[in-house]
Amino acid sequence: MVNRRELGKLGAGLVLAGLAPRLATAKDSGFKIMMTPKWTGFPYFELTGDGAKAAAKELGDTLIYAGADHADVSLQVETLQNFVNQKPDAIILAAIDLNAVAPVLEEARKKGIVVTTYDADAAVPARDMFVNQLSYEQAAKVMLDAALIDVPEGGEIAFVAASPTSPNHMAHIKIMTELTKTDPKYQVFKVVDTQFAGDDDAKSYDVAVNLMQAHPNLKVIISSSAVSAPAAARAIEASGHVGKVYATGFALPSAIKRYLENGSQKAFAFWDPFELGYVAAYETHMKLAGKFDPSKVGATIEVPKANATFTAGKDGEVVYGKPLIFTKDTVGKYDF
Amino acid sequence: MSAPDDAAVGNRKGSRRAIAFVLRLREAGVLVFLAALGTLFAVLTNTFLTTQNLTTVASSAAILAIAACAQAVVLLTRNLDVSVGAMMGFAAYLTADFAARHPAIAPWQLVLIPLAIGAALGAINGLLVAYGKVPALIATLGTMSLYRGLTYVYAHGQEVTSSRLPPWMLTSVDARIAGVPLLAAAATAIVVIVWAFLQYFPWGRRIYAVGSNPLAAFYFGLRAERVVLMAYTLCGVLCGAAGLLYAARVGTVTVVLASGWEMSSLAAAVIGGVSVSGGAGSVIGAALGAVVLATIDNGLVLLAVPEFWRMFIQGVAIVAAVAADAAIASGIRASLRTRGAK
Repeated sequence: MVNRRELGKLGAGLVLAGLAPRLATAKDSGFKIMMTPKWTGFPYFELTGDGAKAAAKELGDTLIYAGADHADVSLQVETLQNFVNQKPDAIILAAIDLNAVAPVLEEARKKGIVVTTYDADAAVPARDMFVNQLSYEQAAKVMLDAALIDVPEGGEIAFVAASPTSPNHMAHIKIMTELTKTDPKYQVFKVVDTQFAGDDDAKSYDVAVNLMQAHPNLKVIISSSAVSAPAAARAIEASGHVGKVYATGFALPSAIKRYLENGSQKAFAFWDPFELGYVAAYETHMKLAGKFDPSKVGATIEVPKANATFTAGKDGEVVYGKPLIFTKDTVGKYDF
Repeated sequence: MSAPDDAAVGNRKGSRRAIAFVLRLREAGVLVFLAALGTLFAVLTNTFLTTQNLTTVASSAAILAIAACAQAVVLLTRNLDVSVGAMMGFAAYLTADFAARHPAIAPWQLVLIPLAIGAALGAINGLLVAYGKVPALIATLGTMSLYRGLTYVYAHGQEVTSSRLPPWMLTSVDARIAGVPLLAAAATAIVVIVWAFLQYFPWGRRIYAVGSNPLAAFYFGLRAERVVLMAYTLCGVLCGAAGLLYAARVGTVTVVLASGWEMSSLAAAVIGGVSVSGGAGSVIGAALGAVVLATIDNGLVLLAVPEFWRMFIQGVAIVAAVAADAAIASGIRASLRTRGAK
């Protein structure tokens, strides 16, 4: 039996709980932000976490960085569910799957939690903004530019993606394929295959080896996965295809340093993960403080440390957009 | 099963011959399957049967063959080890990290590290299962998380990249002896040694005895605990070797190295005719099972088949292998009944 007074208390509690997020947005520091990468332990994501922590420290927020130790979508959903239960002001994540994380994120947004994706997006209604490292177009172009450094005369190219539901990888592949048909600069390339390696190093290695067997005239293996691109470089070296086939795409400088320095590879692309994490946390903070509204196309935000002003685009996408290309001469400058 | 066992089961001439045939079928099954796959891919593509492609398949299969051999040794005792991938990862990461910090280490010294780590991890599994009486699945599920977790704690978010490994580590696994990839030669040697140990040494025979009939083994005076402990330790040593080769092959050693290999090793062993109910099958079959999986992977890429069909076909192969195993078992039971009736 429940008496009326207790019901009253319950009601008041519910009203307060409902108000809490709104009250939180009124302050301008001391936010609790929880962040999960695709998986922890990989230097790239650890650096984005370090960048986000640096921003949070400067702005007076607390940032908790946690996640599973391998890329498993059900584990990521579990992590996010745990986050939601701890009632943070915001969640920052790199989504493993566009749709699988959507329900839990929508639940979070209903509770007033601001959701920011970075590195890899979730379905649009499930998040407030997507801090995109490079626009899909920029990413596609920088990878093809790196491929042109490898093989200026062009030829057959093949792609290795994580999975067909990996949003950024598939978007890159689609645009690269179009560019090879429409853009005169890239028409020297012919796309012959796309394979999936699930961000797994051994699988990527085997896929690369098998691609070289399947397509004897293959010139470049391109992957947006920072796991697959170095594994492909290793496979090329190990299977005696040096000088005939090149690997390129996105890779951490530390992972491909060896191949650039020994001359088996010529160019890889990337961006600064520390700064990307910094910008994601900075913009999330400004959204919480009511100083930046990513849902308004054309809204701008200045990030002094990144030395740039970013503009919100369609569907809450804010492009960070500073690609880097590493070659033998420049790879030594980076320490990640 | 050894010759005396066969004699005990089949006393009629006909049934003895039939049983001998069926027993041989375990490896025959995977060989037939492999030949069928090979023929299929050879007909459908013009690149499958090239020397270069076949050596590629051999290299791809090599490390999984060792892992499958490790899994098979435990399966033969009527147990299971799902920490295979975690043991490989733990041994590989610690070894690669050590090599990166001590680039001057001699190859033979470095090789001992993963073997010792593997032996220790395998022995922990063995103690839990044999003496702790914890069901194998639960015990190794626990140690799988434990070993992977320790690797993660030790690595502290880092990875060992190819530029930090001693160059000989990478070049040695790429080497070829008379056209045969060193990796494939090493795997073959390891599997044959383990097979010979299980076939011809008393300690090896005891693994089969405990797995095929624990009660009989007990009355015979075998200490099953010791045999199971030994099987798990051997499994660990083999995982250490596989982990080192994996690290050298891929070049970049991360904390997630070989995750999921507990299942691939199990799949390879089962496809290779190793019975999940213990005592039957051989490590050579398990290694052939690994070759089947590598052939499927390779052939489907050559055919430009979407990779998800690989999972499907792998699944079909596993179900077919287990069904064949069940059919063989009921065949043996039936022949035992006919003998009893006579």
